[in-house]
Amino acid sequence: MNQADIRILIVDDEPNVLKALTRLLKQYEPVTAISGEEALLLAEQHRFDLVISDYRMPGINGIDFLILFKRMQPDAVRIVLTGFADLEGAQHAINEAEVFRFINKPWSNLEIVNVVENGLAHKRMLLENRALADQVRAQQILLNEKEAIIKALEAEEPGITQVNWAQDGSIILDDEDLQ
Amino acid sequence: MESDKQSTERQATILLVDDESINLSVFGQFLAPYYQVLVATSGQRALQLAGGAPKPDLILLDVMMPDMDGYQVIGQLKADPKTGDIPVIFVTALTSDLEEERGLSLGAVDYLYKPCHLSILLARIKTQLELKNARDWLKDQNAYLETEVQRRHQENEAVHLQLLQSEKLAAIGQLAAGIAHEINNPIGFVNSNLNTLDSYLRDVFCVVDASNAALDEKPLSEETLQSLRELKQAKQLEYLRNDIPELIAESMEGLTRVRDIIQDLKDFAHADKNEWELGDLHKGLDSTLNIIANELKYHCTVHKQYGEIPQIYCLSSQLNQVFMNLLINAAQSIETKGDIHIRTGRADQNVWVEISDSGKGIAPENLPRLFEPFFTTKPVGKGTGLGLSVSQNIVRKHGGKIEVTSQLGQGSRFRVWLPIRPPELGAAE
Repeated sequence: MNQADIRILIVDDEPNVLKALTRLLKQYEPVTAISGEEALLLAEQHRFDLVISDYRMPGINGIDFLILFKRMQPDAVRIVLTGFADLEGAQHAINEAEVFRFINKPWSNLEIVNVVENGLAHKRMLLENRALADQVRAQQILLNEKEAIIKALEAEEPGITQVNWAQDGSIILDDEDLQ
Repeated sequence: MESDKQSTERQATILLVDDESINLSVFGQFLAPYYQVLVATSGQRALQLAGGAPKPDLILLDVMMPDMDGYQVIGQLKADPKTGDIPVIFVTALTSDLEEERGLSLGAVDYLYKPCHLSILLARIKTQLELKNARDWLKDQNAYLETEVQRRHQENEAVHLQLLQSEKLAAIGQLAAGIAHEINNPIGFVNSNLNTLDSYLRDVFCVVDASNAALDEKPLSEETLQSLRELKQAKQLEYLRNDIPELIAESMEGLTRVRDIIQDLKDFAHADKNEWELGDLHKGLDSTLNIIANELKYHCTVHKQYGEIPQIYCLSSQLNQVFMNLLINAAQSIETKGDIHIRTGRADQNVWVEISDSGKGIAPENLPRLFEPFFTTKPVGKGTGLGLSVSQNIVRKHGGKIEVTSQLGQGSRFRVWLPIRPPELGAAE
């Protein structure tokens, strides 16, 4: 996930909010949608690393949108930006949509930038974590194979894995070996 | 009798009128221990004393007198509001039913014949005085009750106004979250834009400073020029040039929106603007729609079909309260998605405003209770149950009425009829 191909999606029914956030996150060249429906169409065609959505919108609301979006792109970081959320909505957001952060309107630019950076870092770490885990697993498999071969050899020729080799490739025999 | 005299709070005053002084002295001496006695030997003198102080509580009036007879005297007594309520007993030697009838018809309370038994006289006098006391007490009581009724009426009126105001505030309280959202949105992007503008300006001045420095360099080297070009490129000056005017225009629009919401809220919540004036109902409907936009816009489509209606004499802030209640009810009756139609029109000397929705409708058994105070089918926290009751009061005060038709599952239609000029405008406060 390079800085260059990070893709951010912003969803809000208020065009001026979209413009202000686009300005703020200009370096990421975010994609915008004015409704959850439009955002879902975009999500069908493009991959996103992070999505910021308003809560109260005509049509499907922000949380329901994020739940659907999560099914399509589970790895993307989900952020809710809202002027008002009731407890029920917030619970829904945390439990069902598993949002990364809840940001209140009016927001502070610094907060948004921080949350976006943290969110992306979080995602990067998750991915890295996953990649490392995969690597570990792959090596474990390799290791297991090797171990099986050694065991088979040992069974056939006991002591064959215990041979002491010298630098020049000769076999070093202990005194007890000779007795 | 002595103890009776003591027990009366005030000694009653009796005026004796007779042209024969012998009668006066006999009666006078007999009555003096019980009452304060005034005497007059002529009709004229009697009228003088009756109008003076102390005011007699009872008059014993002789009928046959020279110059002015008893009938004339009682006529004048009754004509004067100051003396009209003094009971008069005729005392006369004339013994005829006709005379007695005439005397009583003129307003006398009793009729005694001379010569008469003094104890009978005393008993009659006592009866009349008791009657008068009772009458006076009733009169006082009536006056007291009348002022009490007046006071209660005013109190009632004050409580009613307070109720109106409370209902309005309760409604606004329930809208608060939506209004906060409506205000936080523009504040959010205006604030964000200003911060962005701050960093834009830092970039612009960075380029300006570099240009100024280059200008001071003589001769201007090609390298400096090149680095200046690169700086301009890096700071995206061309982009800023286009974006800054947009940023400012959007921010200004946002602030205008906040200002309008606050103004609408102020207009709406204003309590002291309770004056009858020519009001434009369409304007009221529009500003009410602005306040509750957040309750409507996410799930309702509002269709306005305003007809040609004249301005009407009304309490516009109170009518806005009616419109708000009807619109919120309409919006809350729509569960998923629906339409609200607002129509207006004129019929003869009345105008009407109709608000209809495609919501769930009202159950027939609830229709008769619709305007009852505290009757509500909404969940806790969604309504006070006072909206329609208060609305009906307001509309009635305007000399109008609210018509309701509703069909379960189809929607409801509320039509508010208002006279262009309320009939009791003069009497209204």
